[in-house]
Amino acid sequence: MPDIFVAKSNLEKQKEGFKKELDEILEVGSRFFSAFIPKPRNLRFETQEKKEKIVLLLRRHPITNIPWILLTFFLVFAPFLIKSFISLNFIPGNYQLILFLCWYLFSFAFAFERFLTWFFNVNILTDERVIDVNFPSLLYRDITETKIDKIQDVNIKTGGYIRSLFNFGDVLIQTAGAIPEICFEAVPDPQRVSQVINQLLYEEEQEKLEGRLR
Amino acid sequence: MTPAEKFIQFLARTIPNLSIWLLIKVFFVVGLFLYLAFAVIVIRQVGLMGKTLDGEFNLSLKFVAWVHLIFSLGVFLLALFIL
Repeated sequence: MPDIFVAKSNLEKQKEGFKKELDEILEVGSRFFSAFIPKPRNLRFETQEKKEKIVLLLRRHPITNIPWILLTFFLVFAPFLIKSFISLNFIPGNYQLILFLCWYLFSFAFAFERFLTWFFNVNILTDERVIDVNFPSLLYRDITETKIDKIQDVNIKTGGYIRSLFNFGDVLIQTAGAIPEICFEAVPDPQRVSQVINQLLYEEEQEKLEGRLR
Repeated sequence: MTPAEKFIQFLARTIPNLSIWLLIKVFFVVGLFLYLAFAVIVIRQVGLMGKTLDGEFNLSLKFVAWVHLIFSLGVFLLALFIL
């Protein structure tokens, strides 16, 4: 006789529970101007596997950009300030024009380089791995990654007036792999990031117990 | 007279005839040529960064990098001709 109702197994219930908990952690709050992006759409990274899903994408908190934004403003207005204090009449007009254009080229390059560094220095949490992508300068790239099941400990480091006020800090992930520590620097809401990592770790352990390893 | 002494004499004869503005022009042109090389590196690097993290915003960044290169080229040519 066919079954009219089949109760869900404990395993399935547990799986659903994990998923729900993770969604709850990720759904609360805003997107922090794209520095804390849960389950980003239309985004892939170079070494992503076909079935691998990005759970969380992190960048440094936008407030960390304030110093270079202020410096850029200063660079933009500096020629006018200099002109109001010093007479540049001893420089021929065509030289003044080129000097002016060069100044703005350098200012733009500075701002663009800083923006690129912020935008592409990301920390990615997938359902399988933790990845830290770093571009220390325009010419260097440094990618560190570890499997979720290699994570041994997660520490949060916050402190200081600005970090407490804007709720951002470092998340230090200690691993059993070749790279002893991965650091997510100045990420928004480190508490929530730590919760997500722990949730992923539990899920991975559960998968191991069930023998559904990828 | 040693070759070094000859060279120093040559410089002493030539430098007073050189205009300071010509030297500054050479400085500008060489500097802008190096900057042009930097602008090319920026395009290459934006491409590499975009490959590492492929998102919706990458096309706009590539566009900005190309505009930057074109602008650098324009300033280089302007310096070459108007100075």
